[in-house]
Amino acid sequence: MKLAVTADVHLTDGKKHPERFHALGYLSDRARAEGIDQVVIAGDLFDAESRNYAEFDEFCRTQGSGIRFIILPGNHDLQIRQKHFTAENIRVLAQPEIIRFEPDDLPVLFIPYLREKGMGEVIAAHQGQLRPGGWILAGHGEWIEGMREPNPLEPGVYMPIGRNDVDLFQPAAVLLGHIHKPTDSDRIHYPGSPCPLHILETGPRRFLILETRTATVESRPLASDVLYFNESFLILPVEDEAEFIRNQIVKRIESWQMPEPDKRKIRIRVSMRGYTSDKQALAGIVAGCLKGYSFYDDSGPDLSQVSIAEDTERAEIARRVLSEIRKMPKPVNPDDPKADEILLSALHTIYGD
Amino acid sequence: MAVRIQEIQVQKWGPISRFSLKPVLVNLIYGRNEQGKTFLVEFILRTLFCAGKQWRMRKETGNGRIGISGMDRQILFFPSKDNRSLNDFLDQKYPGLPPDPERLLVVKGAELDLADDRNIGVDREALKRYLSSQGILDDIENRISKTLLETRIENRRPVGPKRGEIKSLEENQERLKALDALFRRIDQEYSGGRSFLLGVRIGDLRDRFSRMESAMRYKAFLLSNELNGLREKAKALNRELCREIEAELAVYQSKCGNLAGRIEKQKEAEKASEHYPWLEKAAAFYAETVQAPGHPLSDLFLPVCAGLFMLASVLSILFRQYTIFLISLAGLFITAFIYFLLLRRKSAGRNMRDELAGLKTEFRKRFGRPCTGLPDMQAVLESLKSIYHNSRFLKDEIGREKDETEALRKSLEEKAKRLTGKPVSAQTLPAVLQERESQIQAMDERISRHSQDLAALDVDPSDFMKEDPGVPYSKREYRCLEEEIRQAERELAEEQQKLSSLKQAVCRETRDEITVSWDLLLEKFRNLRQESAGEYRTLLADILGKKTVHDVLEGLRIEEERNIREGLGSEPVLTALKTLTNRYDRMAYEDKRLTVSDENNAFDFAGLSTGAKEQVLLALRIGFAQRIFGQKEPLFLILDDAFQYSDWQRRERMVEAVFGLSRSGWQIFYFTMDDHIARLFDDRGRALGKEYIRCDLKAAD
Repeated sequence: MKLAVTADVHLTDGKKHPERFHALGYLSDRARAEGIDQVVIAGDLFDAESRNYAEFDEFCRTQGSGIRFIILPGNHDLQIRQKHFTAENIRVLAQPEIIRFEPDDLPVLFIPYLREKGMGEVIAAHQGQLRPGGWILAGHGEWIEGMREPNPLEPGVYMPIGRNDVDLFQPAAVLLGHIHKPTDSDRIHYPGSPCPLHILETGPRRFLILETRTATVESRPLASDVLYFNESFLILPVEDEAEFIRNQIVKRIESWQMPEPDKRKIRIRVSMRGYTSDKQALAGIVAGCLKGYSFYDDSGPDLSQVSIAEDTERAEIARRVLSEIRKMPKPVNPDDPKADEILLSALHTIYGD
Repeated sequence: MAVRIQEIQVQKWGPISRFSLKPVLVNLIYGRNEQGKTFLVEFILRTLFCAGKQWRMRKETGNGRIGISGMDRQILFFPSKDNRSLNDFLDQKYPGLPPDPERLLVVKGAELDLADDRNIGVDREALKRYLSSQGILDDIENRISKTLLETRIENRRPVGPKRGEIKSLEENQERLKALDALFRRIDQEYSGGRSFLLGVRIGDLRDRFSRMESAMRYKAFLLSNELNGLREKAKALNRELCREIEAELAVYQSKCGNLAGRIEKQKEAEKASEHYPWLEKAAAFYAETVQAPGHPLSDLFLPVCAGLFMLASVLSILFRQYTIFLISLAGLFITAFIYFLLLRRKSAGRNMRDELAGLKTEFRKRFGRPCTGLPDMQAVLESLKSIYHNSRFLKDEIGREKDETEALRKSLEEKAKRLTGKPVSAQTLPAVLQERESQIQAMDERISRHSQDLAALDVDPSDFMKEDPGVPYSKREYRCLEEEIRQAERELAEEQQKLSSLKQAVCRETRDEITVSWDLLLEKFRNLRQESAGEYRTLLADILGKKTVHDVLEGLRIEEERNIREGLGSEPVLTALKTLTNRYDRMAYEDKRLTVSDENNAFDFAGLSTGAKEQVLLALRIGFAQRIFGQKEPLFLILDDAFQYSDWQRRERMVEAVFGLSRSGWQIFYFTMDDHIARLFDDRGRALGKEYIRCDLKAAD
């Protein structure tokens, strides 16, 4: 059996955030197109403040009809229960449960977020029914190895699962909710939120398809009403400053790989750092390059970290430094600074601020 | 567009109550002592450059303003509202200016030096500042530490002395490594699952162990019951009676043995003395026969007496005299008996000789030798007498012992019947006893085994369990379970210890109490790691950035050296030198020494006269100023009695050089109290018309 898997929808009022309901609609359509009639929402279907379950109930009766929604409560919607819904195609798993969808399928252990419990502890309680390498985990929690970078939108640590637990219980695949950024590593998969909730959740969205017989996980792109890109550019007062900036912005936009029709969905936040000989001209060039794109919270490009530097001799030094930094090998260690960071530091040295 | 001072307004500044000037190209401000000339110079310096300390100026207060054109579309007035000095505006207009341009623009009397070095008045730093890239390279490099200057970059990694930033980076890197190692430990060791599994396993093992313990207690109960039953059975085997019978039987058997021996002896004695009774009779007969007398009564007396008694008996019967009859009858019988005896003796006597002969024959027959006579016979008799009597004694003893043995046998058989419940003969008793002994021994063994088994269970009777727990007791399984529980508990303790040690390690990093929850701890640790990674990234970026800048500067420095050489040989500097000194036409700076040369010789700057030094330094100032600003836009030069120590000839040349500078667009302010210099200026100034003014200061102004 194939299951469509998503998480962290964070539904609130449909009027306030219609795009989140739309994301579920797109997901339902894609699931139907793939011949899938079961959608797993691995936690945080609702936002923490939201108790408006009726809209989702109605959604399941209308747009979501024909799809069975298996919902795991997450840390934001820990309180949701089956009794909160009337639609027949909603199943809330408020307690850990093993489901074998077809006789030949691998069992799937669904683990909702449980306060002050570790994922391993819950798995252990079901271990007797789980053959190492022959089961699938779907839950809401944090993969410790992926925890090194804090998630500013989700402070705190929730139901962590470590390498030890994975090695001990050997799930064939692990699908987790909680981290909004789509992530895949080894057997661990985060589908990410189907609709970005914050400017820091950038790039195209996706959902996962889990084949429960073989535990294979595939990623599928998912449409979204909005797509966020949070970009930063380093400005140098080089001779051909305008071209320098324009090239950077064009390359960055190309790297998004967004089709033209999706351009209207894009919301961007742009911050510029560095030194320019003409801030006004810089603002004009940036505005020109990004024409047609909407800015997140209508802020416009942030040039507050751009300083004026008219000294051509220092600019020449900066140009030479840029040339040298570009010759450096790419960083191997993820903690090493990127070329832009090195260059910015060099610029501070050159311009003395 | 040239930068010019367009207006100077001063009120209440030292001795100056009011001063107003609309400057032109060349401005001479003349004032005798105490007229406020120095105050006016200080006002200009303080107002334009916010300078004071470096010229050791007075702390005066007053009002006034100076208007500057050429910096903006409008005239800028100083002091400015935002407290920015002219330097700030110059920096914007002429990026890369030396940090103290006022040293070029303002020359106070007897302070011609460019540098602080009072010996020579100029050094390499000053030359670099004014002749190369306006000291930019050094200015930038001053921001790079000595440590980084000695560092090289290999594959994005700084390699250099272990101090300063490099040391900080290495420390930071080590810390980050340590945090990452701890992160890996968390990933590997933080597991609710393993502990939970062990907990579940221990619970399960304890349940099984508890059941096994119940089974043991139940088994102990059963064993105890069985043991009691066996003890009852053992009691029924009547060990004491058995022992008693065994003892008696031993006595019986002993007695029987003794009896048999005695009988044997008695038989032997009896056989040895078997002829003793005959011999005794024969000897007696022999002696009697030899020594016997004849009977005293006649042969008729006794028949007559018998007839009488018979008659008396008949008569008494007839007369019914029964007493007499009985007496008569008794007399009859006695008489008859005596008569019979006498008849027999009579008959014996008759056969005596025959009998003696027969005795001797018999003796020979019995003893195997002839009897020689009565003595012989009596001697043999005597020899057999003790044997015979011993035989008789033994026979009596045997009879008695037989009685005792028989009594003992009966007693044994009676006890054996009591023991077995059925009649048992003395002959079969040993077998019966042996069988019973075997039974007792077997029973003892069973009891012993049961006792050992029970003791091995080590269950207090108060802990015996009567209900069957449903599982059979297995000592092996019991031990196995016990060991498995110990092992699992050990593993759980190790797991908990590992987790506790891990938590301690994380708490050490986050400086939290060990009681903090794991969730909070992990969150804080994650933030700590992020912070540390940020510091590391910033530090490495800083090092790589600065080092790259340094490497670029090194390349530029070669060009800088060339620039210094070019600066000292530049047209503005050499022109000013030639004009002011009227002698020297070349300058060089090598090995930290400034030299000036004429057509024939080179002279060390330090060896020049004071006046010559003043000319050279003024030439350098004017040359530098023209080189720095003149190539862009000319500014103004303020000279506060700068030529007062020069001789008159030199003064003319110096004034001429100043006017030459003004022809390049430079605005000149010369403050003097010297009439000669004033005249020189007036003479030259006339040619400039309105572009020259002389302003005489008066205290009342």
